[in-house]
Amino acid sequence: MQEDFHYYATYCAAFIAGYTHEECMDICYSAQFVDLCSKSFLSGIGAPLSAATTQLQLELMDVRTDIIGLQDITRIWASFHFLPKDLYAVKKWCSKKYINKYRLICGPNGELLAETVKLAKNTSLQAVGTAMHVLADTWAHMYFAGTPSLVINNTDYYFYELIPEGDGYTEKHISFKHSPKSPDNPDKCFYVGSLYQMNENSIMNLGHGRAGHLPDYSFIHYKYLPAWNGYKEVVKDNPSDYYKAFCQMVYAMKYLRGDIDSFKTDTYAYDEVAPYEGRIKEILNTRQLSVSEDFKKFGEELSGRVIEKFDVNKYKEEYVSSSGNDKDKTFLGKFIIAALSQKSMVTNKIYKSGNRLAGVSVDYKSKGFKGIKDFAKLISLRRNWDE
Amino acid sequence: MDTDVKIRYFQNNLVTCGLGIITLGLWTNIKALLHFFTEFSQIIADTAKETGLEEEIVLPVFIVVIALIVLIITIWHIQIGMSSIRVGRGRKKHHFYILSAMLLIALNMYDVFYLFDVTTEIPLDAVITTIILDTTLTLVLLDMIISHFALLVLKKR
Repeated sequence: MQEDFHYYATYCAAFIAGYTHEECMDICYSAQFVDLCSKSFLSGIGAPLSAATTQLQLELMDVRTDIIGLQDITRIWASFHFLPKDLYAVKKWCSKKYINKYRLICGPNGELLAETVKLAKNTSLQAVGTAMHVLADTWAHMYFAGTPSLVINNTDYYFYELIPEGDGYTEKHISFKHSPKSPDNPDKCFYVGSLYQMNENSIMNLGHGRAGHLPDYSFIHYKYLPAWNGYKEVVKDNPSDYYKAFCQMVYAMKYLRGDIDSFKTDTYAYDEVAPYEGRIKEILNTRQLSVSEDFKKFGEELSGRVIEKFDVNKYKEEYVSSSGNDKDKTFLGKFIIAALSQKSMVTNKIYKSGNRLAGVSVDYKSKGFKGIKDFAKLISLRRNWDE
Repeated sequence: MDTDVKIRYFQNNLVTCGLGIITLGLWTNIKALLHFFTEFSQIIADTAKETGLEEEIVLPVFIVVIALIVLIITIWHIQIGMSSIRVGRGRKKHHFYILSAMLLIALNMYDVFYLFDVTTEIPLDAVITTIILDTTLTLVLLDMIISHFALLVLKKR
């Protein structure tokens, strides 16, 4: 998803869930910040690089695709943008190598989603925002995996947009061009996608690159053949999926606020969102590449307050100017802790399922601390919580 | 398997086979060129002797003939390959390329059987390479023909 949903729509969902304007701003800022917290940014403020929640295009151009590099890529993308739906999925006549990648396919309402939301309970608003980003992306990015893989993430010429006409749809063939400077043109069905690369682990085969930005457009309804689905087509109805994502975010945030006792997957706050259903669906169906202005206007009408434009440098100075343990109390400090927790949890779950694509995970309680020192912060925090 | 799934499978197969045939056209060209250039001087001398022309005249004519043969082989493979791709993508309905493919299979098989003629002095490595690549091309052509007819049957259903 893009800024229109991660920032503005998350603000709207948080307000409907019962948060104040200031709390909504913290949550939606954190949700959007997941798409910008790269190693370059963290390095610039002297923050732990393991807290990176994304990799920018320029970083991806230089990234290693050996086993170490692939594990680093998978840890980031599977933890924050392509949360696996079923780590124990079964598929016949497949090698272990294939099944490990197949099990990383993203989808909504998986067990990991419940863990993600529960992890954010009683922590910080930054953790809530991070969880909402992950939740929203499980809807937009379903059927793709957060690891570079041609055999999972590839698409081919069978790609059609379904344009509503009367009671049915007309199919319009979508062609992808690798032209990073050209903008997408929905009127001509001209979209930019990543270059076809035969190498299984090429960075071009990461996530939904082969489908361009289509999964991130709220208006589009399309069908295609995913490489993993044995020539069966998949129909993706983004307006419907995005609406479900919105309602599920409201439900999740009501749980995180304490209004609901437990979080269950495949449960949505349809009743709470019902008064705004028409307005939200109208925005989602607007045929434009970004609906930020529409969601911003909606959010400002809901709260009666102005939603600030997103500024990635807003909390930089606060973090840089603080020192020692005070850094953890700043906005970015809390976000970093939330990111480390999420990454640690997802990596651990993937590792425990017998899959080494996200690397090795150490059980701190039984083995003591081993591994990347950035994560030692989580142990000291856990000790504080236990005390 | 669902009929639509099978149709997509065979369509994809036709596209893949088409690409394979175009690529393997390169091998057929290499094979022809190697055959001519290993016996180059002998062919020139024999032709000059039979026609009574000077070797300086026979040489450029010979080069032009080789170039034409390479062009014909390339166009032939591209014709079969592109037709297969177009049928696979649903853009073409003609079947002439199947006859063309069958002729190519026959020529390939003749080439392979020729290798077993003990009177010819072909090095062993050349024999093995030719068998492997010609068999590959034959199998790709057969796969393409089978996919074509399977697709016809499925679409009629």
